[in-house]
Amino acid sequence: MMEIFFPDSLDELWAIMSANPGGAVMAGGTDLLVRIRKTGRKPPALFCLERIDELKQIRENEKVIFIGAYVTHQRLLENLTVQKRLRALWDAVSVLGSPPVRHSGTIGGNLCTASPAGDTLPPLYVFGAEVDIRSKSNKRSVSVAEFITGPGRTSLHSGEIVTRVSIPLPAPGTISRYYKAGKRKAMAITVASMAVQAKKDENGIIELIKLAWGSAGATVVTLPEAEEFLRGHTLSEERLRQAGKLVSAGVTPIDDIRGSAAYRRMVAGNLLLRLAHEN
Amino acid sequence: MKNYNVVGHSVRRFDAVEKATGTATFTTDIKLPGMLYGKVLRSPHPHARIISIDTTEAEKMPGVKAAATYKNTPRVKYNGAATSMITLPPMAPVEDQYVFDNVVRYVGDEVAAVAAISEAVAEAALKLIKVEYEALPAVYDPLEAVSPATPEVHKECREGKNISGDLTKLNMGDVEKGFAECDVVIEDTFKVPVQKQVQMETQSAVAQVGLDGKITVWSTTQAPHPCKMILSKVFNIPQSKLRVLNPPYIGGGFGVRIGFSGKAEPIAVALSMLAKRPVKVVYTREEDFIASDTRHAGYITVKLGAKKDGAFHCIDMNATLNTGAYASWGVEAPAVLGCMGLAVYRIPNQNYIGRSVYTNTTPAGAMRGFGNPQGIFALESAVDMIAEKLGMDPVELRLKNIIQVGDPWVLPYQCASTGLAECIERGAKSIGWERRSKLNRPGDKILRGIGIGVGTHCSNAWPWFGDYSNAYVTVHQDGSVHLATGVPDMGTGTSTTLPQILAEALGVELESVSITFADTQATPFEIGSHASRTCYCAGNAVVAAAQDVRKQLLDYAAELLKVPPEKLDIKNSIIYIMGETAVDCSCSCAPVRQISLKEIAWRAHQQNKQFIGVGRIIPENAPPWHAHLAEVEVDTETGQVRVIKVVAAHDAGKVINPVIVEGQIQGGVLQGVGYAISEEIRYNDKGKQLHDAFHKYMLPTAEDVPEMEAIIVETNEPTGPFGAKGVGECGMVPTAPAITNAFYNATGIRLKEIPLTQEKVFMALKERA
Ligand SMILES: Cc1cc2nc3c(=O)[nH]c(=O)nc-3n(C[C@H](O)[C@H](O)[C@H](O)COP(=O)(O)OP(=O)(O)OC[C@H]3O[C@@H](n4cnc5c(N)ncnc54)[C@H](O)[C@@H]3O)c2cc1C
Repeated sequence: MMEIFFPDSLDELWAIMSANPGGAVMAGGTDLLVRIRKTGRKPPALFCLERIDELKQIRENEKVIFIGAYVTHQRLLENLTVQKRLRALWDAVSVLGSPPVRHSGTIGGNLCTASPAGDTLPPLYVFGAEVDIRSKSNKRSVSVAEFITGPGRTSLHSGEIVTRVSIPLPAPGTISRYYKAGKRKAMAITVASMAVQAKKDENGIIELIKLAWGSAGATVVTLPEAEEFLRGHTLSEERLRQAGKLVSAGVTPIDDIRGSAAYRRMVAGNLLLRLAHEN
Repeated sequence: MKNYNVVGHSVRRFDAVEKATGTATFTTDIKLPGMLYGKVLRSPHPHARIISIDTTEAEKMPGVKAAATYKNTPRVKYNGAATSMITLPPMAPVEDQYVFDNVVRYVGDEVAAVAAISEAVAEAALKLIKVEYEALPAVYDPLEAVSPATPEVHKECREGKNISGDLTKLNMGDVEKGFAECDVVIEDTFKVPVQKQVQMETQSAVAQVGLDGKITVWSTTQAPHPCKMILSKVFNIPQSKLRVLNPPYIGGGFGVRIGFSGKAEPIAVALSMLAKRPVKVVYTREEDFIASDTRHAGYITVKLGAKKDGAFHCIDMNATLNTGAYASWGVEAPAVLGCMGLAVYRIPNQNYIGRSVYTNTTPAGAMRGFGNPQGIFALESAVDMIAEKLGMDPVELRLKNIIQVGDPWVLPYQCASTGLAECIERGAKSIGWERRSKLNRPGDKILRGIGIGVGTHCSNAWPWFGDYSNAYVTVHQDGSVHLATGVPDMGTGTSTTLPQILAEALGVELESVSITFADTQATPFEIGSHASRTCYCAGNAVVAAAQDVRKQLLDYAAELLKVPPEKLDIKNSIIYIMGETAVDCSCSCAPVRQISLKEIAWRAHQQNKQFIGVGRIIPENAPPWHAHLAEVEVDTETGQVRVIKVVAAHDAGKVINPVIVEGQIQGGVLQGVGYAISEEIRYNDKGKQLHDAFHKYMLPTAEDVPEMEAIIVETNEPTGPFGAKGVGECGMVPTAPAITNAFYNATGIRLKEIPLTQEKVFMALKERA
């Protein structure tokens, strides 16, 4: 039998966690419950975060938006700052799962699941998000790239939880997008995806560009050589096509029932071509 | 067309409130005192012999009440599909399956079952069953399975290695001569995937064995009477002691349970007999995916020839379908494929050979369209290919060649009505056919295209198979009317449309009609829902029963009103003299010129009489017609195909309930969209189904639903109730070729294999570039 706890505060959570070793933190449960059913391995206790207000807050100042770990994808979808200034993240949550999944699933859960197909991850990479981590006795922050250490693996220690994600707000004039190739419009695990953040000067020359691919390797893939190749140039179709070749060669996807590695490589490169039409 | 009081109106469904409020009961809702839960142990091997099986440890587990294997269940071969009860001599049904056998033939085949006090205990007990297997060589592809070097899935195959049952051979004219006379000939082979019904309610049954030997089975069958007959045969119990019923609803079917629901019924009965307690068996979705009938996958070759002016002159088709480990409807699927494929166009020289082949995969059986969508995908692709070769517009070419009333065809009944030309014309207008081929500019990365597919179907299985219908109509002592029919309502609206037909035929108010359905004890024999027959056949039986009871009522009233019965009619539940307006006359004015059903029923009751009508019919058959037009979008950078719009124009004869018919069409179209672009079950090299869950099997989701327009073209079918024909299956028959032809129009690439999954499309685009 699993014991289920609903702490009202972080302090209460720490107490429950230390009294119930081996238990699992549950946010929306859209990954956790699926995993429990599939493996049949039930943790002795579930620590549900849903009543801890601190984890549900979205706050922002001029420079940074702070998103509580228990903020659902639906709330991100409805948030105006996300919509206007973090478009890649907004794009990602708009194609994540389906309405019911978006109403339960959280950004913290998506991060901690650390799936190579996790839709919020590539945007969080290109925005240079920081993950705030706490335990009973400790607080620390790491970059999202440091946080995710492999497929399904994070740098969380036992007793730690993610409390929030901080995203620096891009300078005005920066564009960002997330493109997803899935097998249908909803409820489709990403076959290949790409997030981009870019800033052009008045002549259309790329000053800054950050790219990250999902479902293209064991974890989110970044390719500094592709970014380097595009920086200082306009995003002509030809330049993008050449960069796409670097991408296809640089990503390290796998074969599975959703798509072959060969296909994923080519699509990862092709997604770059969409930039020719964004401004 | 004639206007009716009740027929032709979108009256509220009888099941609407129950279903909307969640009070409608399904098999999965049933709970009986002392009820146990059954769980099934399934084969991990695609083909193996069971050397030993030991259930001792499982049976010792607390809470376990029975374990069933091939050792303690009947050794009677059967076919769980209704075909085994309606196949007519000289053909003989293929019976190739036991409840449990000592050979397993696909991953998921039943090895043993346990009944316990809970599902969890039953599941835990399964793990304690010790089975030793001897692996046997396996084969998965039907073309491989017929070659000499491959293993035999079943020994008794009269037509050749691994061929299940009889071949279908159809012929008209002279094909050899015909092709020699053609100016243009095309030939190609098409491949179709395994599609799954994915009805909402998984295979389920609850069996209760009474102390008196009577057995009651509540189940998800869409053919309760045949289900009862097959159970009777397997368990050697008189049919009179078996009652099979839906409770009364089923969460869909789409053909997956025309007979047994997988093996839910026989396993529940076997366990209940062993445990002497009621047993409930509910398949998980994974079990439903891997261990209940699928649509037949396979290969279809079409050779089509035409004269220069576009007149089709000769066709040769053949199909090899994969029927998996057991025949189920394996003989019939290629038969329907051929018959319906050849019935669309006027072609003087025709030839068809179809066969189903055993392999070590999940059995394939009936699914909406029943072979027809497979054949029509191939045929309608070929028609577009020949149109291109002839330099003709695909719409024009079809209009020129489609069957007209009176044309000779291979079917053993007449084409008495067709609205296909109107379907095509109205469909083409609605999709904007004239925009075709003008949608793309050079350099476009998203390509658009428009395509068409047309077809026909049947309205039941007669005269290929036994098909007859019965109905009882009882007038109660207050004049209200009860209908008893053995067909189910699996969401298709039968429990509304049949009362509509009764109310119209008898002249009573719909509100006074109630219906009992899908219960073998309370209704006379009916085959059930398949072959788009329910409204057409059961509807004709209801009309016959209504006429029978009407005659009794009018004869009785004639004496009271002192006029000959021919002068009487019934309207709004009042018997009146024709020519005199029927008024609701409550005063006691003499003489009596009319009498309500309420009064006459009560008078009869007081004279020890009840009006009971019996309808017994053998149906004719009739072709429904359909044209689908689709617009698609192809993303050349990812290979994704999106269906933007489908216009579905259908001639279903007289429509009994328009909203129900539109619902049938829309649901069918969406299944057709999935068939065309995303749904498939593939296997790995160990015979394991790769798409065995909702997140792997790509059904279109609500967000993938294209814009849809259902156009209803009403014709009057002289053989149908009030002019109705079948429609249930038609919604998905021509959808796939409409989409693949649109894909061709967009890209110039002819893919001969569905579904058009993104990777397949991407690779094809890349190959061409
Ligand atoms: C039908 C369906 C469709 C889906 N589609 C998509 C999709 O398209 N794209 C996609 O990316 N994902 C998809 N998912 C996966 C899932 O919905 C997301 O990953 C979601 O963001 C998970 O969030 P959650 O709150 O439900 O996590 P949970 O299931 O509650 O938790 C996931 C894991 O993270 C841990 N955890 C959660 N919160 C914290 C925290 N604050 N601190 C420490 N550990 C924590 C849990 O212990 C658990 O191990 C889908 C899931 C389903 C069921």
